Amino acid sequence: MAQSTKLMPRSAESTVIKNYVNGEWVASKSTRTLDVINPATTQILARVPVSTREEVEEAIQYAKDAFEDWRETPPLTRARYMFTLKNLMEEHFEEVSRIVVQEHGKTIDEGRGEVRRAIECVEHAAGIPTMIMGYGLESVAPDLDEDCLLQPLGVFCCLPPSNFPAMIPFWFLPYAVACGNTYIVKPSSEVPLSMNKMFELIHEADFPPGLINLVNGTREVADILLESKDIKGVSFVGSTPVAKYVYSKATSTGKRAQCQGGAKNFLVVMPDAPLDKIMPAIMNSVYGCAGQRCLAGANVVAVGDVYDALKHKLLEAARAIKVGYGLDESVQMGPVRSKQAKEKVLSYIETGIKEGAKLVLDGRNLKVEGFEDGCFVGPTIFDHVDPRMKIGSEEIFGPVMCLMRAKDLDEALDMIHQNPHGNAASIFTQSGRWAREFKHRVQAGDVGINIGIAAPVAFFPFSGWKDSFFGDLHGQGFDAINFFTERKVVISRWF
Amino acid sequence: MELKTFSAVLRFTLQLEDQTAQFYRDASASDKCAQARQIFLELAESSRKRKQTLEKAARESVDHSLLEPISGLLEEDHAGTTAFSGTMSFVDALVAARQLEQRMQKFYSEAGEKIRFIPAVSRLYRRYAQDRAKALTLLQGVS
Repeated sequence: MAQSTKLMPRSAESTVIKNYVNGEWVASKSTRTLDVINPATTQILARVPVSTREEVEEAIQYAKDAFEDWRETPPLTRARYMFTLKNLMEEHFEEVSRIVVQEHGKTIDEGRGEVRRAIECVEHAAGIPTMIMGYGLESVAPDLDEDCLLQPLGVFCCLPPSNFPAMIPFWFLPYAVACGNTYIVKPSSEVPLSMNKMFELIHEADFPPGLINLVNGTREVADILLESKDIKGVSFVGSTPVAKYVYSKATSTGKRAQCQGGAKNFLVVMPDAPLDKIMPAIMNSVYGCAGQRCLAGANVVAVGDVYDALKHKLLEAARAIKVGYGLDESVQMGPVRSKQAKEKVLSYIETGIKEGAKLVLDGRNLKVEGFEDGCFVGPTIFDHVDPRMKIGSEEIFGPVMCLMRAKDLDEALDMIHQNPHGNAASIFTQSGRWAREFKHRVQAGDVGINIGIAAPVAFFPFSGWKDSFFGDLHGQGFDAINFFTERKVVISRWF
Repeated sequence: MELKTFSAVLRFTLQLEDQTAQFYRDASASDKCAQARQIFLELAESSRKRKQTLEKAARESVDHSLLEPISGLLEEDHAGTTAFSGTMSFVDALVAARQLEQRMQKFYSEAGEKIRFIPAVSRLYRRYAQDRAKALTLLQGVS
């Protein structure tokens, strides 16, 4: 199973990836490019252009032009494109997974897991003929029938983050397109290569030209999309401040918006939790993808007298985690996304020390043999963290666990509710009563019971509350169908 | 070497199945094993199918939200001599085959427990432990 770790040929540093517009790969005329860097090896993988205004507006126009024909395409035909795309994604599964590892830094298992989730969304969207059915009622009044239709709106776009370069655009794209809309993706400029590969598959699937487009760039490109009157809706995933900005800007120009923000997720461990059984789940939750997930566990709350045993097991398990380059199948945790991301995590660790939390496992000085310049931070644990501290309340987005104590479930819930975020929360317990109470009362959108990462599968919405989400309809599931369609109620009478 | 991730376990498993298939193919080609040729060919084919099914199931079941670290599964505990040698007598080949099936049954049982966080693949491992037990019974009936 040994494969080359090289993504691009030696001239990668000079390879500028292209946009995909109107069914063709188009080199950007922009003179501005950014490096795409492997965070483990620091190798430059390629360069990504910052597209010009003209190029973005051209993509929007092509998408708008493609809409009229696409919306007339029968839903079953649209579904067949999804089957074709799914098969291509399966065929290139390993290839895309390896690209994810190389440009993001996560492990190969995590890369594969991400691509699998992307495929699931395409599979779900292939059920569009049933999902987009409206409803009707005969004789609402004598001789009058009334029907409700679901119709597509036009051009939508997404602004995905850097932590799941292959998966997150697929929370939205397949549903939008299956519903009859056209689409534009602007990937994160830090990790554009996974989408670049996915668009090669989209091209091979032979979607009509203009239907699905890719424009590369940074915030400036995002702003052009947000300001365009021709774009009907935008999907965003990223930090809370940027989510608020995108939501505000999008809705001020009459667009629909679904903006997933940041998170600070709590894992509540009750006194009856079977510690040996739950430890792997907690380790995956906090340190999986090097803590760079909006569902990552960040604050572990030991309730009652579980604290001593829990702390001991957490330290033991975290110390055993093997950190390295994700293409090595024995590696359990990769680097953080970039030098800037590493500096941010280290800065939070410094802050935590200054705030008076006790650093009981220090991941700052980890060196990985052979990858000494890589952006690695080892598993880190703070003890005696107050949830009001910066490290206890703000999203660190790295492999840092904050250990807290609560006397009972009520106090644990209060800690969770004081935090402005509400993305996810988990409880570990064998008590149905505690689990039910937690499920009922916790103010978070994605809830885990003895689950460390409460990631909804494709046919459920990816929820999020409070400052973790701005909008009314989430990605995935029936929420996606409702976001990408409008209701038309028709009352008819025949003479 | 400790197998600490799902992909490491899978890689090792596929490696072992490759070795299994090679052993049975080589044994079936040997004149000394002519009386069990058909059995060895079938066992080689079973190994190939298991490998194919495992790869597919792993690809379709791996989920980033379910991945958990693994501990206590060592390659050294489950590796062994699996190469068929041309100098092996039929009896030696049978003994080697039985030992191979025993080792693989043990591996699938133990590894299946460790990867319970990927239920679809873990179930396959349990099934394959049973398959290897049946193969052992079959080989024990050969004289």
